[in-house]
Amino acid sequence: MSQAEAPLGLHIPANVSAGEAVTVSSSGTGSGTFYLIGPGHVTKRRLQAGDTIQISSDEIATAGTYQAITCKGQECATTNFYVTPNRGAELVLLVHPSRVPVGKLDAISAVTVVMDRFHNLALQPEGVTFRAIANETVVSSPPQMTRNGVAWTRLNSGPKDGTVQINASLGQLSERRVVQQVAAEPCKLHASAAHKGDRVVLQTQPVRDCRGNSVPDGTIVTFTKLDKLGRTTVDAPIKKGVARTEIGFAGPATISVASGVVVGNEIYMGGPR
Amino acid sequence: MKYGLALTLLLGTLLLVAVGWRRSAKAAGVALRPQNTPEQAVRNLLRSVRERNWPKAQVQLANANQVDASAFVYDLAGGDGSLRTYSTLEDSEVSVLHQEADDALVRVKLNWSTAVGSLSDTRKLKVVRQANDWKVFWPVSQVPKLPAQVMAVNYLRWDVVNRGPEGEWGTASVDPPKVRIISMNAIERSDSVIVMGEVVNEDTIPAYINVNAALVDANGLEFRNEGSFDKVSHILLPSQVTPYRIDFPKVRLNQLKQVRMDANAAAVPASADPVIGVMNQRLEKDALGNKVLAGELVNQSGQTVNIAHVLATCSDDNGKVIWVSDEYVDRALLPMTPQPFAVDLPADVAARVQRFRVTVNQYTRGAS
Repeated sequence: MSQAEAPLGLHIPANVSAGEAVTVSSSGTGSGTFYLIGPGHVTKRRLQAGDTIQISSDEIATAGTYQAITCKGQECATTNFYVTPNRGAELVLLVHPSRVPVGKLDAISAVTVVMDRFHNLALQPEGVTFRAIANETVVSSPPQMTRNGVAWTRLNSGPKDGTVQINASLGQLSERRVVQQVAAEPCKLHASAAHKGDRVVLQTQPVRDCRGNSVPDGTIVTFTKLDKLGRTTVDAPIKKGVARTEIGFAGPATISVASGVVVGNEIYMGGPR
Repeated sequence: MKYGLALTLLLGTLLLVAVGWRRSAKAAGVALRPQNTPEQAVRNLLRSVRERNWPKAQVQLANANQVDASAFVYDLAGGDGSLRTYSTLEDSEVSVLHQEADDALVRVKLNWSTAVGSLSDTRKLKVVRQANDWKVFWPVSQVPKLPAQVMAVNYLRWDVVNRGPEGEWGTASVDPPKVRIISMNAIERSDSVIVMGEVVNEDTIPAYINVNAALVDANGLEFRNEGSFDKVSHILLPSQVTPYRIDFPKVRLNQLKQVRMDANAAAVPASADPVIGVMNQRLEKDALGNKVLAGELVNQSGQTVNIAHVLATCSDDNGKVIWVSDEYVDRALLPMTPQPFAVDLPADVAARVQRFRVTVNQYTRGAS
């Protein structure tokens, strides 16, 4: 049934924003019932022709298409209207990954989603600024306009390990995440060997990546000794920057060191102990 | 005549007592007759071991006075929370290798039923004749004892703090560790397809991993899914490599078009200790003449490792993984005390192995 045929008419404002109360005027004669059916709310109230209907902010807090229905007896008239999201009032910031090796291009992804204060996706374009803060160095991006409520950027990881703060700001709003920048794979893995009684002490030099960052403690370094008795391997974790182990010595042996897929130096230990 | 009845009753009573005693002794496994063969002597001893009747087993030894009772029990029943303490002797295979008038050499294969399946332990025992009996000469061993000492440990462990299910959407959480399958090979063996290879933790935090494989047929449909279960080291420290092996029984390689691999990883609390060295790895033959990859495990930390699980990766001359095998060690790893291990290798695999790599899983009571 069209609005022209309705016994009770409604005049809804052209622009309705989520969470902003509106006044709807009615026309016609007699009395009836008013229904408001929205994405997250349904109301019903008595209506006298010519009255104004106050729709509160709570009733239209959710953006989307609403139906305003007036019924008089068995006859009903329906008017659809759209409630648009309000201005951005909340930022959701998604940053990935939480750990990243140093010196990687486009390694950090930051995506921000702008919401209004009623958690509707704020669809109107707004300028979001991204900042990366590491060791008092701040790198800012030019404002990125949101498209359909979303703005994103990609950042390179820095040359030094440690934490980097990723900030997204919109006006007075700001949201922060922390990414751990970690050393890359070991570079120039080098071990030394020294006799200690009938044993050999194997120890790496401080294990660093190619940019000089210390490889995190706990990283496994594999020492391998090959001698007449066979092959001996020890997976030793790096502790305080170096990996260390002691193994028995039974004559000439070749010792090598590796970490993951990185191979280090080789040591030949000859002669009787 | 008047004493005849009494004598008959007395003899009858004595006869019945003798029969009853013999039957009860037989039921209890007591040897009433002389142990007149070396094999019988070993079997009687093993019967006592199966019953866990250690005093009775010890008195059957030829050198009972020299064998320390606690060492004898530790040798057979285990200790320190080892896998042997969760085992029972299921059966045994006894064969006489050599016999002379007063001594013999007997090989015995002990099949233990354990919490992780069946394990066997093959020993050569010397059996000697004493009077009319044969008795087992038990190798004298001691309960391993370490000198009292303080071992400094730079304790290194990781904890994971999760936000919990009520965490706000979009807030940062800990990303799962990055792990990568660095090799994979599928082979057919008897009536099974075996998928195996290696995985590395490329991240800077420990990972709990599971490797799964799905077999895909010619129509692109997955028809079998399996996980690596215990044929993988589930906890991987940064840069650590583990082998994995997934068995698909009753499948042929020609049924597959593709194998889809998936390595799932999660951040978990973990400790970098204990460090277990794998010493003197070599290919050799065991007492039964089978090819094994043998060596010794040395626990380099100060805490006892209750159960060790050895995983061996064998590669050919091209570096391709051709076999992954595992073995549980049923002895606890005491600090700095070498403990032998041996992983079975099929003869055809042993002939092609050019490189091998052994890693050790460990289970320590009270550790996460």
